[in-house]
Amino acid sequence: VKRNDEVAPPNLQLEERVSSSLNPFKGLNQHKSSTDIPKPTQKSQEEKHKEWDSTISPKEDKSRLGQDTKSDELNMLRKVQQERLQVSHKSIPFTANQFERDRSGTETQHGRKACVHENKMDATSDHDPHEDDDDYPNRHGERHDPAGKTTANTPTRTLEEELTFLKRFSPTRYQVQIGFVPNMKVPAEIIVNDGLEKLLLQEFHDSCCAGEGGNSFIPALRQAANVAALPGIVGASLAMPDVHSGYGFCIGNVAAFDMNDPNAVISPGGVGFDINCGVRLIRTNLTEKDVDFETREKLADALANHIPVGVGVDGVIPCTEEDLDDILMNGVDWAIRQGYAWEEDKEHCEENGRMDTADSNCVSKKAKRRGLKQLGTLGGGNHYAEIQVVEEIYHPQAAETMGIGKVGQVCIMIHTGSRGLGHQVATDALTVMEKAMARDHISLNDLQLSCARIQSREGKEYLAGMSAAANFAWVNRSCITYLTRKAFKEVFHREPDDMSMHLVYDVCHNIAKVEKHVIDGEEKTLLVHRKGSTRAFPPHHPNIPKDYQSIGQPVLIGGTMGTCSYVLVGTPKGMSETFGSTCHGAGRALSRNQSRKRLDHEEVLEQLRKDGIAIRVASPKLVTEEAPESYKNVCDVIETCQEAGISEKVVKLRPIAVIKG
Amino acid sequence: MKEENHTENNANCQRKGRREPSQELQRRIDCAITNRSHRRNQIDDIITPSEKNNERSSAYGSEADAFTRKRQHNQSPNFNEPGVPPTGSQFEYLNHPADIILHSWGNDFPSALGNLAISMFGYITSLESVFINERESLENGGEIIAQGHNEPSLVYSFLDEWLYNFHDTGFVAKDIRIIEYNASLWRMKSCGAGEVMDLQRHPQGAEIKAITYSGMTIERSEGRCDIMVVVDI
Repeated sequence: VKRNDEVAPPNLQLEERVSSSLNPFKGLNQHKSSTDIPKPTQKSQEEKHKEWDSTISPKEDKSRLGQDTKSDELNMLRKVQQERLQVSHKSIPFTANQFERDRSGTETQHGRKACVHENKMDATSDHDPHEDDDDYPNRHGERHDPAGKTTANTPTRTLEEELTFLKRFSPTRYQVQIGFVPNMKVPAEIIVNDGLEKLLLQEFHDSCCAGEGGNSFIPALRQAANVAALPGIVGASLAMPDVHSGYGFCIGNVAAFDMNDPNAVISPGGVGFDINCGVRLIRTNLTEKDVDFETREKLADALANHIPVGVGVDGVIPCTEEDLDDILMNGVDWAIRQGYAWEEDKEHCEENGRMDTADSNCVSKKAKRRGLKQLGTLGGGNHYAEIQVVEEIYHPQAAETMGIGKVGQVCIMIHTGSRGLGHQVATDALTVMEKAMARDHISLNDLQLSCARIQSREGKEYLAGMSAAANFAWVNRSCITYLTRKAFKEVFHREPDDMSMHLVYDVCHNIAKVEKHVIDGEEKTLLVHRKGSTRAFPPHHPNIPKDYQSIGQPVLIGGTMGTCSYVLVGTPKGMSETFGSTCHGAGRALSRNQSRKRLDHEEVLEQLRKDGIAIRVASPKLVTEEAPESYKNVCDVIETCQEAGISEKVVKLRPIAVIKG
Repeated sequence: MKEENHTENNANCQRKGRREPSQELQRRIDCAITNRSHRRNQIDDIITPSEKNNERSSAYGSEADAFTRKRQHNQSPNFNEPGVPPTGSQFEYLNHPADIILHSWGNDFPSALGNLAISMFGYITSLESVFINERESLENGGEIIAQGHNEPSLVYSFLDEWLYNFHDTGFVAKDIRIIEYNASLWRMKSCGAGEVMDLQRHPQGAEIKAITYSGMTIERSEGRCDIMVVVDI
């Protein structure tokens, strides 16, 4: 352990710092070899269970939260400022062993101090959580802990007992009844068919037997039930067929909160980190005959040149800070003014590409800095731009109305979100809401369900910041549309207008919106959170474009890399049963590590080439994580939605070129 | 003749009124796109059958750095993939249904936390391909301050600050040292050694969107500390 090392103070010129003897990095231009500390030994199942059971005593947690009074924070900030201003040459030890106090939680039975932070956070922990809950079933004589010390995530019931709460109502509807987890106000309803039900139960079973590496996750079933325990929730906590485990809310969760209920909450977890991650579809009047193999390769190259993808890549669209503020407030209107978007694009976009609840002041400087350089970029992970052809038409009239009524017609599908700006807005909100929750005495089954009262300052700020991030995402997709039209112009030497490259529709699948819905015959204003779920309004709804009034709102479901995508429309049944929502794609079947082990990236890419798909990826070795085999079958998901009547198939699209990060 | 639907009719009427970005904007965009295409032709991001690789290899000039050339030939030079820890690392990646779990360890909490941030960079790019540039390290990674109100929020803040710094400056840290750690105020100051990400030399790994509190675990035992965090990809 090195001590008395000094660091060159920040006020010297950079060059002086580099050459001074106080440069901690001097001479460090070789690979670091660290001492070999062995990996932890594999714990047995029982040990893992026992550790999972142990909790920090709720009182201790509460006292820690109470420490953060405003004056403490101010004092701390003053100290930080003073330290920074000092030009101090006093020695700063490299490791801070003498400063480290043991701040860990209670000791487990094995003498190890462990803090597991997925505990029930309840400011009123001494009170029996089941006291007021008339619906809590005691009839089975379960081994629950009335003092509420056990976490909601730790099943003291056996698997069979848990399963008694799950009831199937119809071939596609599954209910998790009140009492599955504490404080449920409404049931949780999952829309699944038999096949998808098996996957869901498998996930549930896996998590009950503790995951790998001592780190188990909360299964989607339990997450949907935890959401049903949030204050102000209306109807039911819904889960779409592509449901899988996420953070707080599961992916595929739809939850609506009554805006007029002072207790109702808004939760960043119910929107997701990638605010307004969504899909748009651009049509053309080209057909598959116009895009032979060579043209496909040229198009793929052109698109890859025009659209930046992957990590560490800047956008090509110039954007100043003033532009960014304009984008955050005005959304697609800015893009139209600048000339990136066509005027009619706006009508074929949810909310006309602009949420009026946006306020750029509620977006932090950090988030703005992240967004500034990333305008017009695709990102990585499961984001993509695909050139597709219409393969099959199920609803000819709707397809004609949307302008994609011809088999073999070429379209472009773009899937991306609000990039770093949205991620940072969500991250900032999580930190802020943690404190608000303690103040407003919001009790949760899961710390990840970080939320704030909609009417509180934090809630309003998050709604405004989220709307601004959503505007950014729409502008991002508009800029990518512009670049796509440009790329096509370059390859075909024709104007985008001549190729009729109009926007069919743009949907979001990670957002919270204020909508009017009829509940028990009464119209209510609800804040509907959709995480990994797409809005699907029926025909004649006032919020959908005039062009589509007769057919309903188009819903775009992107398939995984190399598999088919679908266009659906919303139905009246969906409006009444799921707040006008449907699925968004396919959930993961294999974890990233598993995909990497089981699949070979060369084979995956070779298979895609064999299928006639021109592919451009920024990180070839990570392609296995996004391979079709790593995901569930999107057809199952679509069929289940069709069977449940919440959306209707219109067109199936097959990819012929893929650009991925 | 194919029957046009009404959106196409609208288009025909509006064609003359189509608005374009200003000349200056278009020039800048075209310039940026041209630069991108040049860079892409140098870095072989395209996995195609081997004949195409051979065609490209003849185009390399002597200016090409040996390191870059090896990558271009897809010969997988001596560096690890992003997402595979180099030998001797004090971290690993664990299974998660949708994203990835970073698991790091060290002699004590600060060093485990430093290793955790390094593991995050290990997923963004290949650490073995990153060399240490003193100037860039001082400029971009000289002082990163994390502040929390309890231990998990300190871990969260630490990772978030390094992630934000990466998105702001492109700096990838290969080695992180803790300069200051105040356990009672949950404050940590650290500095990192590494360089700014250069797509010519550093392979693109996954983009880490955000850090989560999900399943965050901090374990202490004699002489070591383990931390596990799930990151959203």
